[in-house]
Amino acid sequence: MASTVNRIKTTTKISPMLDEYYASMAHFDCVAWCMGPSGYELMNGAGVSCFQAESSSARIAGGQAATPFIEYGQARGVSPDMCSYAKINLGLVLAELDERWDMIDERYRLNPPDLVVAGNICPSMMQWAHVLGQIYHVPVFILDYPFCYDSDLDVLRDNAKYIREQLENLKEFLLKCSGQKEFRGETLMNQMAACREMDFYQQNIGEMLRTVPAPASFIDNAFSMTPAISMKNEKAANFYKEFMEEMIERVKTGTSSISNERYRIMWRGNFPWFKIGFLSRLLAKYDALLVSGCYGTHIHQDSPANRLIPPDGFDLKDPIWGMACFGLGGGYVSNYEDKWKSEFVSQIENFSIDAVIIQAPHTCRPWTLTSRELCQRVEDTYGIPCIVLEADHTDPAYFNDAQVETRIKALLETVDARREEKARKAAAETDEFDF
Amino acid sequence: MDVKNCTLQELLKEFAYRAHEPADAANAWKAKTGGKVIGIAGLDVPEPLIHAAGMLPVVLLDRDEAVTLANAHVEMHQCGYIRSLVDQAMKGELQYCDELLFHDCCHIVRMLGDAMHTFCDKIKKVQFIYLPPLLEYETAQKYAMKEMRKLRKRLEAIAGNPITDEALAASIKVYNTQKKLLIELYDIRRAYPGILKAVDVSNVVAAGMCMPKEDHIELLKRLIELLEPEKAKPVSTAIPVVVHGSLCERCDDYVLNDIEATGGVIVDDDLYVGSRYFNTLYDETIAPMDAIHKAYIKRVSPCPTRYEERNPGDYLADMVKNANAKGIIMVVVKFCEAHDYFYFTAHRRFQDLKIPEMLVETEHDSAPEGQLKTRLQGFFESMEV
Repeated sequence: MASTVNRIKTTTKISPMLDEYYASMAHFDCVAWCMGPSGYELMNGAGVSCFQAESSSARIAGGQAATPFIEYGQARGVSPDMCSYAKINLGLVLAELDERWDMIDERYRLNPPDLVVAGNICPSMMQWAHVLGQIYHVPVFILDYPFCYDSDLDVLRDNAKYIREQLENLKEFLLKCSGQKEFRGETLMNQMAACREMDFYQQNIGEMLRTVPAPASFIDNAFSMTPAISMKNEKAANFYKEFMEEMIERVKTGTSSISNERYRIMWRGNFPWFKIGFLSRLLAKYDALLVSGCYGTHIHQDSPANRLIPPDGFDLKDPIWGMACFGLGGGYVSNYEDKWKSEFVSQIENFSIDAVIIQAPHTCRPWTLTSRELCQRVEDTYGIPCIVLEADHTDPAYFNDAQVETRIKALLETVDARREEKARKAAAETDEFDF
Repeated sequence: MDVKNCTLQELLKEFAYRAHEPADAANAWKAKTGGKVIGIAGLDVPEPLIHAAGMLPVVLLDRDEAVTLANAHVEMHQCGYIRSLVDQAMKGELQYCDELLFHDCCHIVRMLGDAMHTFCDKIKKVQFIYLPPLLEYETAQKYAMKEMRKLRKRLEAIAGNPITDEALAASIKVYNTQKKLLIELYDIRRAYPGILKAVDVSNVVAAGMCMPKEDHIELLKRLIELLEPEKAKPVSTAIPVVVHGSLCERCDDYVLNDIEATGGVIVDDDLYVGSRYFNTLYDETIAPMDAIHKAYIKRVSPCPTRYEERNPGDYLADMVKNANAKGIIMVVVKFCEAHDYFYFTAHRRFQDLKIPEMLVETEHDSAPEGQLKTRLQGFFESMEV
């Protein structure tokens, strides 16, 4: 009989909490649209509110409302090969400029930007920001996260200094845009303190997924990343605290995320946000559970920041230095060996993983490249099966329910076959010594 | 070849051969000099540093042949340049390179350089240079200079020779000589539409990206000499257009040929294997390292993988105007995401300025010529109306 899903109850608080947060941002006169890691922590202190464009697109996709905006944009020059976060956003922007209110739900309406800030972490962010700057005739600031091809500590420190200098410039830029005279350092300190607290809870939440059977799914975890990314305040910290406490209670009472956990899966890559519920139910149908991954939480693991500011990368006395050090992990497309160690080795070895799913998002090519090598390496190193699932983070055109189900079913059958083989070998070895 | 006595056709054939068989020239150079060959990927690798170290920089271009071996490792939705480069590496076609040097021109190239050796034992060491894309930001400019200095040291170690300022200044002079000759060639092309076919021009530039600069300069001088009598012939009466695009690879020959076979004549271009390769001169009045740095941050053509405030549509609109062209054809390589954004912005500007524009998307293993010809005919007919 298929397992039932026992979702972490605290996660139901996300939507109302985000609605409340976005409403609280309305009192700011100056709105920054942000994409990628954009120095969010500096914004409120400079009198600027932050609209996180990828989160907005993920929310629209999660609400099954992405396709009309994608199509609207594509009919007007947006390429189908662009990152689907950007495709949704640009489609929505064009629809608003054309005053197509008939196709825009009230929840998704945009407050036009006064400025745009982007972190250069992929081929999209910087150019997406440039496009928006040109459309709205507003200033743009780009934060560059250097490619750390050399992980020597001195090189990392130099790179962090480079990011720090940019963050200082961003602070000035924000003040200029908002017209606020002085930066409110206390706001930044409070946000960084909240970030540190959130980091602590998130680490604990992640650690508890090691428990067999797991008290939560990694999907609960990934689904809950928005408050950490967008809000970065005490309310968000309290949310993760509550999440962690629910997990502790579950561990104590032996409550599991699914009723009959038989397969523990690692997920690599971002999620198809429009199919998160489908995936959760599909896996449960076959008694499988995602227990680890490297999206949303990977910035907290093996971060170069931890090497520069032990133990956790936070420096509350010098918050901008802490932000700069965290920025070293902002270029998620790091070198191949680092990627293997931080995203696979630690996950597979610590979470009793039976199989790995690598999502290769069609419109996120840096995530996709080397998927096949990593897949083979999982098989060769750990002898566990791995598949590359071609899908997408927010474009439903690149997801096929039936194919995904078949592939996941085949993956789990491979796990069964390998388990049987292992048991047979173990039995044969026992026979040899059975006098 | 006997450069001094060759005919125009023989010379163009030589350029085509040099453009398509870079390994031959590189191996001949190695045999003659005993120097090392550095294969480079990326638009902004400071080539004179390699030249000044006594090594031969060869720009790695895509190959016309179908991608086969790479398909096992690189997804079909990666751009043709990446797929072709991996394929060449796996087939052992880059063996003539002693080392590879990749510039972080896009995030895919960044990933590729590091990953390629894991599935391709034929690849030797891959060096990186990270040049921040923020051309107008002082912090990024300083970082770029630091990286260039680091690269200079690494190249000295590879070559086993110090790179003196004198040698660098001399290399810059060689590069500028080549660039100025190519600029002169493009001036002739603008003034005498159709004097050379676009494919021939593409071969001339591609050859210069692969072969020793000094040899290329000799061929260029002869070409300009041989074009002198051609100027007396009637110029093309086809519709003059500018071609932009193919930003990391050669614009497919069929695209260039089809444009010129359906009623157009290409009078200028903003192609990687075209004016983008040579239109930024090195400033010889300043220190050589400063000149290399300046050429990076003050580049003439806007690049979608770099960040500048200017609208790329304005740059291209000026090019159309200066070349007396009637329109522009934008060649976007499928799955070049940065270029997609660049195109979107430029396209909107062309609409504002009422510049006729046509988008051509190209894929490495596909050449839908019939469709393209029909579209081009329609485009040129609409311009005549």
